[in-house]
Amino acid sequence: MASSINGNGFITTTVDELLSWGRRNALWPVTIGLACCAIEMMHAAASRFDIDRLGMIFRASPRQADVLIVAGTVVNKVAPMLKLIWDQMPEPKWCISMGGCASAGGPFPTYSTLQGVDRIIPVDVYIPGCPPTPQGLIYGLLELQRKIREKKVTRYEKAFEEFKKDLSPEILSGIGV
Amino acid sequence: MPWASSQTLDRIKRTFRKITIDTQPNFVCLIVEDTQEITNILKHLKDVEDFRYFIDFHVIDFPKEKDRFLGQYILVNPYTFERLAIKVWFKSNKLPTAKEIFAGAKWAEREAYDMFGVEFEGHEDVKRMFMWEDYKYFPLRKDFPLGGIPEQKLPSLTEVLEGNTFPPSHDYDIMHTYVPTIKDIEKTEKSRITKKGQLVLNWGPLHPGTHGTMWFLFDLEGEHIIQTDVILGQLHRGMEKIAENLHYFQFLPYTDRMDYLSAVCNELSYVQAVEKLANIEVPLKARYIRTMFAELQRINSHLLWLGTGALDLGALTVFLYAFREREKIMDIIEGNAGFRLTSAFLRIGGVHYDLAKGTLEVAKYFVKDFYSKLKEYHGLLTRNRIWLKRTKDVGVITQEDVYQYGLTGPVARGSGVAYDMRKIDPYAAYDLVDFDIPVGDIGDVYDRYLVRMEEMYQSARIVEQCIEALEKMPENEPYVNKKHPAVLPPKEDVFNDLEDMVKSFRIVVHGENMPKGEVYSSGENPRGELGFYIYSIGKSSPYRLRIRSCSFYNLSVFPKVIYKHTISDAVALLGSIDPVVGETDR
Amino acid sequence: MNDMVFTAIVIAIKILVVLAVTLGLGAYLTWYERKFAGHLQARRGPTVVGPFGLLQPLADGLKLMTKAPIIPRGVDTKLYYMAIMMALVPAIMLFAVVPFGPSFKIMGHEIKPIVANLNIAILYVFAMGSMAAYGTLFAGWASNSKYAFIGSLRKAALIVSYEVVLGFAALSVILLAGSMNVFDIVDSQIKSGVWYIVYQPISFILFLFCLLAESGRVPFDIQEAEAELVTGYNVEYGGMKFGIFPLAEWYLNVLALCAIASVLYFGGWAGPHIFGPFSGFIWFLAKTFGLLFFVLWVHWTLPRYQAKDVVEFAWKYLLPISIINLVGTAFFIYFKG
Repeated sequence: MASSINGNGFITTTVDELLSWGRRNALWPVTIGLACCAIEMMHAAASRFDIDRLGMIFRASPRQADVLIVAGTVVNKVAPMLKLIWDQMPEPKWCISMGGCASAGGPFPTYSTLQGVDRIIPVDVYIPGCPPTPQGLIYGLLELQRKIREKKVTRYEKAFEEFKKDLSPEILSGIGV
Repeated sequence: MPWASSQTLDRIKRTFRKITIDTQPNFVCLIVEDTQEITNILKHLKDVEDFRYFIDFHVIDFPKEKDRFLGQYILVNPYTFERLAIKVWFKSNKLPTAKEIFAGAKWAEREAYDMFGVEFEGHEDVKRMFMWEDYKYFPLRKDFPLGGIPEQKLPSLTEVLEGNTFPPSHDYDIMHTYVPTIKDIEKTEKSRITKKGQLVLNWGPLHPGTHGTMWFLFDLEGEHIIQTDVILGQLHRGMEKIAENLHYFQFLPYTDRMDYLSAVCNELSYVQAVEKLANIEVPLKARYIRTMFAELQRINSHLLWLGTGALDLGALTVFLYAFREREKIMDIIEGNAGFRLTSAFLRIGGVHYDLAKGTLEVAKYFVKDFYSKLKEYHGLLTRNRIWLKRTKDVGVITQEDVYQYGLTGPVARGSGVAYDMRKIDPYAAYDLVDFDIPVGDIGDVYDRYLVRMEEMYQSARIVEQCIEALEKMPENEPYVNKKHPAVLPPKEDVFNDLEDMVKSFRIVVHGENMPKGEVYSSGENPRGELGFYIYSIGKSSPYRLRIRSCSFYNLSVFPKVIYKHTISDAVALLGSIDPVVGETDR
Repeated sequence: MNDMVFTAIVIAIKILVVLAVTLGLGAYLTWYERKFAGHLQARRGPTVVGPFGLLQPLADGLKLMTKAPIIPRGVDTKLYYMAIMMALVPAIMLFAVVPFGPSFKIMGHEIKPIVANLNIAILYVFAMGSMAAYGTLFAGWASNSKYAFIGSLRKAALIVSYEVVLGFAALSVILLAGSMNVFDIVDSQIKSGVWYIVYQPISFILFLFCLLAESGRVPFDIQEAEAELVTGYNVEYGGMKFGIFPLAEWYLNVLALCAIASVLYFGGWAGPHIFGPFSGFIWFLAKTFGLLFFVLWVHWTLPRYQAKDVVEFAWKYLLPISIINLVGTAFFIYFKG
C-alpha cells in the first residue's frame, strides 16, 4: 500500500505515519532460539528486562509474526529451514541478527557453520556481542523501531529482482530462492 | 577414581593372552591386539568383571599408521567405581559392533561413522549423526581442513542489496561451503524412519519447545507414539576439530558455549583435565572459588530446567519466577567475571580475577533468601494434582537402561544409581565441604523432578560452606599458580613485572608444550558426567580432544522410553531429561 | 404502527450498542490480560504505547489489518474463510441473550436491556456454545497441516464432552427457577432473597469447569499447547484472520459465559441500591468482571492436563456428579412443594 502512493499529500502521509506507528509498536517476534543467545533473549522477555512493555509478544508460528530474531549459531544444515520460516512470514517483515554467530559466523570458522545469516536472509539490524546482554537486545529492537519510522517498508523487491539475475539456478535453489 | 586396580588388571591379563596393559598416572587401558576378539573381551568385562556401565566410545585418526583408526571404549564398574579404557585398532576400517552388548554404543558408532567414515560389522545401515545424508566428506579426519571445502559463491545479501561499497562494509569471504537444499534435508528425514502408523509428525527442528534445535520424528497411531527417531546436528559447530588447531588455554571459551546454561561447570571439567595432564597444582583459594561458582551455576541451570519444564506443561508463571532468581545469580557472576552467561572465568592453574569486593556478602544474602524461594516453588508444584497426574509413572527409566545407555546425572540418580563424580573422584574443593546426594526410587519424571529440587538445596548448602571458608582466608592468598611454566600469570603482574610479561608473551604467541600422554578426566555437570579425553603428543595443542557429552547419551534413551506414550508425555519426558543442544552436538 | 417502528428503532439501537461495546471490550480485554499477567509475574505489561499502554490494542489492530494476506498452498479456501466466521459469529451471538440490568422506562415504554428476550435463552446459550466448535474444526481441517489437524481433533473431543456436563449443571438451576428466561431466573433470585450459589455450589463448580473448557483456557487449553503443537489449529492463519480467533474464543466467549454464570448463580443485577439509578448495571458488571478475574488467575497459575485425561475427567467424574446433583435437586423441589 505504501509503495503505490507517490504523492506527498496530507492524507497519504498521515496514513503512512499511522501505519508505521502501528507496526513499530506491535512488533511480534518469532521464537527462533538456536543457542546461547536464545537464553539472553529469554532473559529479555523475563521480569527484569520485560519487552512486553514495548508491546512485543513472542509468537510461535511464523505466520503470525513480524520480526525474525535469529539468536544463535546458524549451521549449514539448518539454513534451508530458516529460509523456509522467513518465506512463511507475511510482509511487512524484518530480520534482526543477534550475536556474533548470526552476524558473521562468530568464533566458529568451521566446515559446518554458516558464516553469517545475512548470506540467506536480508538483515535489518545486527547486534554484536557474545551473547549480547538483554539491554543490548532491547537497544537493537529500539533501533529497528527507529528504522521502521524512518524508512518505507517495501524496499527490497526491485533490488532483489536485479540480484536474482546474476546467479545460476543451482545457487538459487541452494539458498532456497 | 579410581582407575582399575591392579588385582582386576591381573585377573584380566590371566584370562586373555593377547592384550597389553598400559598404565599411565591418569589413564589405564587395555590394548587389544586381535580385532575380532573385541566382542568376547567386552562381553567378559561386562558379565564377569562387572564393568557394565558404558561411558564412551570414540575414534582417533593416525594417518601414518598401518591401520589408520583406533577405537576406544571407556567402561565403569558401578559397584566398585573403577574405570577402564579398551583400545582396539580397526581392520581395513571395520570393527565388530558393540551395540548388542551396550545399547548406547549405537549412537556413538553413528557419530564415529559420520566423523571418520569407519564401518561396523553387524550395525547395518548406519546413518550419519550430525551431517546430512549426502555429505561427501568425513570432517574429523586429519586431511580435512578446519574451514571445510569452499564450493559455492554466497555473497552477503546486505552487500548485494545496499550496494557493494569500497572499502567493503565488512571483511568476509565470498566463497562458502556447500549449504544443503530442502531436498537434501527431506532425504535425510525420509531415510531415518519407515512409516508404520497413521501419521509421521515432525517435531522440530525449529520449534518453540525451549530446549533447542532437536528434531524428532514421531510415528503416530492416534495420539500414541509407536516409533521415533531423533535427528541431531542442527548445532554442530565442530568444536573437537577446533581444539586440534588451538592452544590449550585458547580453547577455554569454547567450553563455555557447549552447555551454555552452566558455563563454569564445563570450564571446570576442562581445566581439571589439562591440569592433570601437566601436573599443575591449584591453590586452596582458587579451589574454593571454583566450587562456589560451579554450585551457583548448578542452581542456575536447575532453575532454568524448572522454568522451562513447567512452561512446557502449561504452568506459565513458574518460568518467570525462576528467571527472577537467575538474574540474581547472574549479577554475582557478572560482578566477578564481567560476563553474564558465557563467562570465561576460570584459567588453567586458578581463576582469572580475585573475588570482587562485596561478593561474599551478596552471595550470603542470596543463599538465605533462596531457601524461602525454594519452599515457594515446592508449594506451587510438588503437591499439585495436575502436576502429579502429568509426571507420575511417566517415562520410567530402569537401572539396566542406565548402565546400557550410559546415563549420568539426575537422570541416573532418579533411577536409583548413586553415581556422582563429586563424591567418587572429588575435585576442586568437594572433599572439603559436606553435602548429600539425593537418589530416587522409581525413575519416573516426578522422581527426577524431586531429585533436582533437592540438589538445588544441597548446592545452596555447599555455597554457604564455601563462603565461610573464603571469609576466613587472609586477604592476599594466591588465586593462580604462577610458578608453573604453563600457567598464564594474572594481568596486574604482566603489566608490572618483566618476567611475567615475557612469560605471558611466550605462552600466548607460541604456546606451551604439554607433556606427552593421555588423560581422561570428568566432572559433574548439572546434566551428568562431562568428560574430556586428551591425547597429547607433546605439542601446545592436543592431537585429539574428545568431549564425552552427558546430554548426548542421556538423550539416546528417549526412543526406547517413549514407546506407546502420547505426545504430551514426550514433552514431559524431554523436560525431565533436560538436554542442551550445544552439548549434544558440540 | 408507531409501536412497531419504535420497537424496531429500539432493537436497532440495542444491536449497535451491544456490537460496539463487545468488540471494543474484546480488544481492551487483551490489554487487561497482558497487564494482569504482567503483574502476576512480577513485571508490568505494556507501558510504552500511550499512557499505561492503553493504545496497545489499537497498535495491534492496525498492524494485524495491514499484513499481507498469505494463503498457504493446498488449503481448502472455502473452509479456510468459513472457519473464521464460524468462530466469531456464535461468540457475538451469545451476547444477544445477556441481560445487562433491570428493565427501565423511557418515554412511557418499558425497555429491557437485552437484545432478544427469548423464553429458551439458556438453551440458546448451549446451542451457540456448541457451534463455536465448528470454527476450530474447520480451521484445523482446512489448514492442510498436521499440527492444526491434531489440535482441532482435540478441541472437538473436548467440546462434545463438556457440553453435556454444562447442560446438566445449568439444568439444576433451571429446575429451581422454573424457567429458561433470564429475566425470570433473576427475578426468582431477587424474590427469594437468596442467590442460587448458596443452593447449588456443586453446580457452580461444574459450570466453571465447563466455562474453562469451552473457551479453551488452561487447564483445558489442549488444542493450542504451545510446546507441543505450535499454536495448534491457527498455525496457518496470519494477520487479522489470526487476530479473530483469540478474540472470539478467549475473550468474547469467556465474557459472555461469565455474564450468564453471574445471571444463573449470582443474581444478575441484584444488589443493594447504593450507586443510584445505575446500580443494577454496575452490580452486573462487577460480578461478571469478578468471575473474569478468577478465570484469568487460573489461566496463569495452573499447569495443563493431557488430552486424554481431560476427556476422561469429563465423562468419568463430572458427568456422574452433575446427574446426581440434578436428581437431588429434583427430589428436593418435589418434596418441598
